[in-house]
Amino acid sequence: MQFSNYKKPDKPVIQRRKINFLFVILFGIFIVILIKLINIQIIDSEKYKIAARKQYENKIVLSPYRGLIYDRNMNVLVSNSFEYSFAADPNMVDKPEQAAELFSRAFGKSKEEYLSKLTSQNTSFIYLERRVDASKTCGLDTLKFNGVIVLKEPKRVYNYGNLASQIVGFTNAENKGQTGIELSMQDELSGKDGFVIMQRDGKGNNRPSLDFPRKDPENGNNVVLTLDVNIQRFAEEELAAGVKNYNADGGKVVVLSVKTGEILAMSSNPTFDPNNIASADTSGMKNAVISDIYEPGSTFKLVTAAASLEEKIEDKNSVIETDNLNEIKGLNITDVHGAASMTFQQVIEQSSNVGFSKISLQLGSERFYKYARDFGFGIYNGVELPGENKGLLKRPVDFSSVSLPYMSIGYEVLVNAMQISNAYAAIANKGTMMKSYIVKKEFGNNNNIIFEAVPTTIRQVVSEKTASILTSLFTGVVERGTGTDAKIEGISIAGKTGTAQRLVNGEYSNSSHNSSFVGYFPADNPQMLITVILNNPKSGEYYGGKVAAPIFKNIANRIINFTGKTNIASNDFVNVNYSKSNINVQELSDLNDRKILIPNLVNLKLEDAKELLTESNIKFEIIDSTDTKTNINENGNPVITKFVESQLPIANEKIIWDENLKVRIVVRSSTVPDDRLVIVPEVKNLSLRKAINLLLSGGFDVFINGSGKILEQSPLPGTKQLPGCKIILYCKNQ
Amino acid sequence: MHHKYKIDIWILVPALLLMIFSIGAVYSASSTFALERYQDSNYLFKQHGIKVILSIFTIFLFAKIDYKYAENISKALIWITIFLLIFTLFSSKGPIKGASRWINLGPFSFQPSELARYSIVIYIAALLARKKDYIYLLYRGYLPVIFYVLLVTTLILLQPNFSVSLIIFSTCMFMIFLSEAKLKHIIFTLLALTPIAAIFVLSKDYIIGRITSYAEYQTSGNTSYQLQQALIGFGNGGLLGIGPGNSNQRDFFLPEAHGDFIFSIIGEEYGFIGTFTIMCLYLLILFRGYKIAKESKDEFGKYLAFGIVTLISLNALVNMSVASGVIPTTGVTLPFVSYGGTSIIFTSAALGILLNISSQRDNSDEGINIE
Repeated sequence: MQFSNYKKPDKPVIQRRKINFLFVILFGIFIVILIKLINIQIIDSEKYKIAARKQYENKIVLSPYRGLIYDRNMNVLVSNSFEYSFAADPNMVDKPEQAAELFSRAFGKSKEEYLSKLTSQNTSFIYLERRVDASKTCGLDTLKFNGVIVLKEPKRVYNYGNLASQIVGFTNAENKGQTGIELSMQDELSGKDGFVIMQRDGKGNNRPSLDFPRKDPENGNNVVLTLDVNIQRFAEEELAAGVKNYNADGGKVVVLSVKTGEILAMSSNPTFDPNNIASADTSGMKNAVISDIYEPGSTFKLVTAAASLEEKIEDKNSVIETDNLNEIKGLNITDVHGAASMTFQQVIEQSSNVGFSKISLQLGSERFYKYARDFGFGIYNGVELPGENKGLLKRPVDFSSVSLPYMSIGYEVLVNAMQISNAYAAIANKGTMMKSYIVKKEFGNNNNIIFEAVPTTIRQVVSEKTASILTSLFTGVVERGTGTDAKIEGISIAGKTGTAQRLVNGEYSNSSHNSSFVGYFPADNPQMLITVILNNPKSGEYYGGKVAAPIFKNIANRIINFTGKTNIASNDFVNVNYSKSNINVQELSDLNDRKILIPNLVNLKLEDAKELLTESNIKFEIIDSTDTKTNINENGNPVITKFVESQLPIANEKIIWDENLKVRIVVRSSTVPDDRLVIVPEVKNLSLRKAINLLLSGGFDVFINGSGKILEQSPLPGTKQLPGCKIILYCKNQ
Repeated sequence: MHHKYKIDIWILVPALLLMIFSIGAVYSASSTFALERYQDSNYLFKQHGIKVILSIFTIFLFAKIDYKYAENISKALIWITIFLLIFTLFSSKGPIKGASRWINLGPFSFQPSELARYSIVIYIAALLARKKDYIYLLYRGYLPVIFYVLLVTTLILLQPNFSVSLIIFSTCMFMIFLSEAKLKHIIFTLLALTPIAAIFVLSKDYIIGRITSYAEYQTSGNTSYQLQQALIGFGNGGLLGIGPGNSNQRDFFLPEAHGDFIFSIIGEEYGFIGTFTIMCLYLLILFRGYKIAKESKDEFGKYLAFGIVTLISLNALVNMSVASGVIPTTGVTLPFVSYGGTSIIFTSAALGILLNISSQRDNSDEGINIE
């Protein structure tokens, strides 16, 4: 091998090769970057576009107002206020230590807890504090931390606290109904969310954008209930007193307008405070009137009595042998005060178990079942409240040999208190069963009526004659039978007592009872029905006539006294006195009951406070000594928002409503939380039309000075202003 | 000679295109920031516009000055630079990014490191030209050259400015590699410096942080906020971009949008087409610049042209690599394009010198006569 042909290249050639070599290295880096860019910009582009949209587009939900809930006299049972929630976007938080410290100081939790939330990974939204009362935010809602989000959230205010709480229900943290009317009328009350899509910048500021649509929220509809807060209060107070007096586990009460089926009051004891759900006893939340089923005992004898009269098996004066029950083996039915024989009237007045059993045997299973079903037992009532339990009414094929006599006296059958009330109301209403209801009216925000309930007949359960015989017999129960404790001087009352042994561990207990009384008045033209049930009274007395009837009497007394009329029989009691169109609410109500609740306004933004007061129909007066011109915040922007410093009368005070009632509001000014502000865009180089559109889309008002090309704008572009701020454009033709 | 005074338009035109393009890019990238900071969305745009005009003037000025003057003043220049670097270290604890990099001269402020990167290239070019016959000797040839390289890079490293220091060091080593210096000297130098560089890196938390973050991005895809935003910018631009002036990333999502990360904003507004075009312009400057180096008629011009082009290209490559997540985040401007004060003027002066070299090379027919 020879290398003779090889000649060492000369110096310039080597240098050129070195340059070429280095060029190739650098070219290689170009290629690496190029491949990377192809990956990002072409192959994975869609992924980044999604990430981009997610961070630019800030969809701000515009919350609608949840509809108000009124009683039949337009007393506001439920209204709205605001609360503040704090959340964080951990990606944007730049001072987690400082923010955690302040939150810890304000809310008393450990700094570490907030710190771990503020620095948590893989989330762009985490709640720090949920639903803080506006007066307890310690000003944190006005502080601006990058990445800390302040949310104004609507809050329900239950103006009457525990009163009718099971009917009205409550909402959860999302302001969504959980029980009661809040749940069953959720769709009607909630309205529809609106939204505005803002373009967001890296600091979380909102920028108006022309490209996105805006949808205004639709406020919820308002609901008027058939309840009367006064009657509801009498019923609840007297029931609570009775539960206490007779040492019962609880109780239920229903007040019905028998001619219409309207529910005037409904409650079970215990109750709960919907304003304070966190510490409320959950046992008080259920509406036991419709959700609790029980063996009714003697009050169920109504079915037996009505059927036998209607079927002409008995009449008022029939004589029934009540000495013993030999027909059926295994039957253990006796009477407290036994007698050899009784008239039909005495059987009812004394509530003879033996008597009713004998009647039922003559009636037969099929006929008994038909009437029980016609009275509404074992089927849903369909009242506009959640959680109804239809109970249990056995069909005749399922009857055992002893079922019929037991059922005739209210055992082997499960009912709810509403069903019992409806059945008696049918008799009170001349044998015609009305559909009971609690939603009287639904109206929109322009007072446009969306729904108005009309009394609905379900069926004629028994003839008018049978009904009037029964009413006169039930009057005897109160006059001289088991229900004498319900007697009220000057008014004839029809009623029936019931005392049922409760099933305890599968056996009927001698010491545990459901004690009830159902009564209606005035007997000659019944208007109102009251059902009272006590669960397991343990004070010694347990007969319905001894424990439930006095409660009935107290409620009825207070209702009658409240109207100021002794002879309520002469008028169409409920419909005249309690129909809003015909009465002056003022005149009817005793002054104690016309107190209104002053909402808490302190620390609300002035416009929020005004909104609340207007909504509650309260006039106001604003005392404002702030000078906006001299107040400049740290960004050099003038302070635009005012807060309520103090109010008179103070929050949560119940004030007698008066036409001249005014709430005095003292105003302070403060820095506006930046998340509410919008950056004024620069429009100088835009056409006037485009400029106006852009500004309007940011929620600004536009005022044009001159015409032609835009020379100046005020306030300056780049400053942050509240939406609604007026932007002046100075224009000149050139 | 004057009748043959022709400069390489294939260098001039790409550079001018980049600068003209930068006016729009800086306006778009800085408007939101400027609006908030100065209540004038045009503020930084105006500043940059003035610098671009000055820079174009500078290019033509230096293109007319014979580059051989640079050899004459190179020694004075390097000592002024060294003095300024030391002065910066001891005088001002600069407010910008916690690093002492700036010198304030009334209305002017500039970074001595900007001057340093070109004065060291000029001086090394001069040394290599002078020592061309004995550069292979360790004591007379190699060591004095490497001494200046290490002195300047160390002073910049202490500011601290790791990335600029590394770019200058690499450029100088490329230039020495081009000479007849012994390869074993170069390799030994690199081997000796590696542990020192490693110790420096390990002693600086911010560098460790960036490298850890980069390593995490390469393995799991999680990344620092800034890089994530840069990538969203590129990706949101896609192939065609979302249009000039439409950037969303500049709205405080991408920090340094008009500075070190302007390449991402370009990618967002002009898409892959835009970033590819920019890369082609730099590649053209690199290719034509190395061609000038090859064809330069004297040693000084050869090394100087090579050094200037390498320096500009490395700057561009590092910047683009950082923005697209190829290498860990570090603060290097994109030559001719970034808003960055004095940088664009120094780069333009260097480009002017390069053009002057191009006009005096053996094969300068293919140029334009600016006389």
